[in-house]
Amino acid sequence: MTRSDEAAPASVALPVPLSGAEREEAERIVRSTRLALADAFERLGGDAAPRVPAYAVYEASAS
Amino acid sequence: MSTASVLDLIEAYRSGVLSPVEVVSDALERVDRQDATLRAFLHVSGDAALTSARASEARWRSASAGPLEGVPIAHKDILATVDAPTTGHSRLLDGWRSDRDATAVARLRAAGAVSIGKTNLSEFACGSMDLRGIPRNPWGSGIYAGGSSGGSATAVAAGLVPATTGTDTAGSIRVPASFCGLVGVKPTWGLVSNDGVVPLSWSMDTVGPLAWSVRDAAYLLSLMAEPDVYRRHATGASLAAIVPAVDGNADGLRVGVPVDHFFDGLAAPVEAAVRRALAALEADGAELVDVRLPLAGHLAAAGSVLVMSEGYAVHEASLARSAEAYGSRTRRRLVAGGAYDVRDVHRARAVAAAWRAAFDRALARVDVIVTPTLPLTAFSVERQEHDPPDTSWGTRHANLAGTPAVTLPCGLDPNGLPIGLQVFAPRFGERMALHAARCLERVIGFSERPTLEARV
Repeated sequence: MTRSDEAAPASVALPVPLSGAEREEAERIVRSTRLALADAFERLGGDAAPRVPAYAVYEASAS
Repeated sequence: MSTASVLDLIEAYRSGVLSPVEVVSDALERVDRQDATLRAFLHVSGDAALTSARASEARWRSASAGPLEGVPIAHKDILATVDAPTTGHSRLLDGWRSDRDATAVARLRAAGAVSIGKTNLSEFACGSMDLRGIPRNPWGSGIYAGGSSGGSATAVAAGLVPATTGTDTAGSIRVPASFCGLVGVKPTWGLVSNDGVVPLSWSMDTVGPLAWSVRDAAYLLSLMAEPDVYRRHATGASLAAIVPAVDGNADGLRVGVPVDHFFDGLAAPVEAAVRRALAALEADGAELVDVRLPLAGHLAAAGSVLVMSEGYAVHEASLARSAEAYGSRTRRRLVAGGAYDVRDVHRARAVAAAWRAAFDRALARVDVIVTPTLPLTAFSVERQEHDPPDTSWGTRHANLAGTPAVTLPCGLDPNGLPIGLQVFAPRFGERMALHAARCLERVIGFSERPTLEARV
């Protein structure tokens, strides 16, 4: 499975049924957001990257 | 009267040149005459406002005037008010009246402000404007005022009131303030109470002022904010100290200028005006420092997931019962928010946490960071309805980090539309943000106002 497939599955499960153009637009929003989010997440190193520890924020503020 | 600032009005009341009843009556008359075209207001509190104005006059006569006594203010119709309905520009809340003011509203009312009405907004701060229509920008015919606090911006820019309140979750004070040539303040998250505000995103909603000047905005913020919260987090300083601190020159001010994202793809007039302002600030004594923010252009998705998933949680039950009562744009945005899953939210929170740490590191090296507020000036209402650009391009950064940000005008484009400049500061750094904004305001010298012909 490519990263694109993983990030933007073919179906989007909307919690409230919408019809026609509204449904298509809501699904488009979710798909495109997931793609962009996957890209941003990969820039951090993805799932392999350590999470930013809370103390790093305070260290940054003190530097 | 229509161009008088908040502080000008207070001085005029003190000296007896003007009275609250005169000023509030004049404001109501202008709203009545101009708002059919401007669409700044959803509700006008005529009788209640005049009653408050008379009470304010009595307090001035008895030397018991509060710090904002008799100044007409309008509130974004997402902040609860006891003397007017709070609808969120939605059929769902049509006619709803709260039994108490939002805390920020109550603080301004206790200071003597006269609420003259509730301003137009995007439905629930995120969607359609179907019921009253889109507020018009007084700077140009058929021009969008921005959102979601568009009515608040229009009301000030058109000279209907000297200041308004708005909310900012991804730029909703700063974008309309920038489009309408105003000063707008998004405070540190939590500095101004969100109690009594119809929520969109609990983790990023903020309440702040829109006004013509940095001094006015600072004054209003000092009255709206929570004094104990500020004192605990701003090294013991008091909110009242914000106002005199905005003055002074820029000697020694370290100003970060991002080399990533914020100067990419700008409309030529925007870049020119922002660069001129920075050069003027440097000539005034500031030191400009390049700062790296490589994540800055990659936050839109994380911001959307966090805001809209939280927004969906607020509206989940209403959407299940009465989805048809929402405007179309509101409905599809909130429903999309409900489609994000645990992995989406996990990734969004990771990106937001990384951004927060990076932004804190950058802000620790300087006093403030200055950027354009938007890469463009205001566009047509038609474009907003059919193909809106990403207007949170330059503003979501402060919401994701919980930091304060101030926008102020730095010029006009060739079409006469305002260009906005933004100041970022660390959390609880409102005093520094407003000082830097005041320095910029002084060296830029922006004093233009929309013409009467452009307003109606």
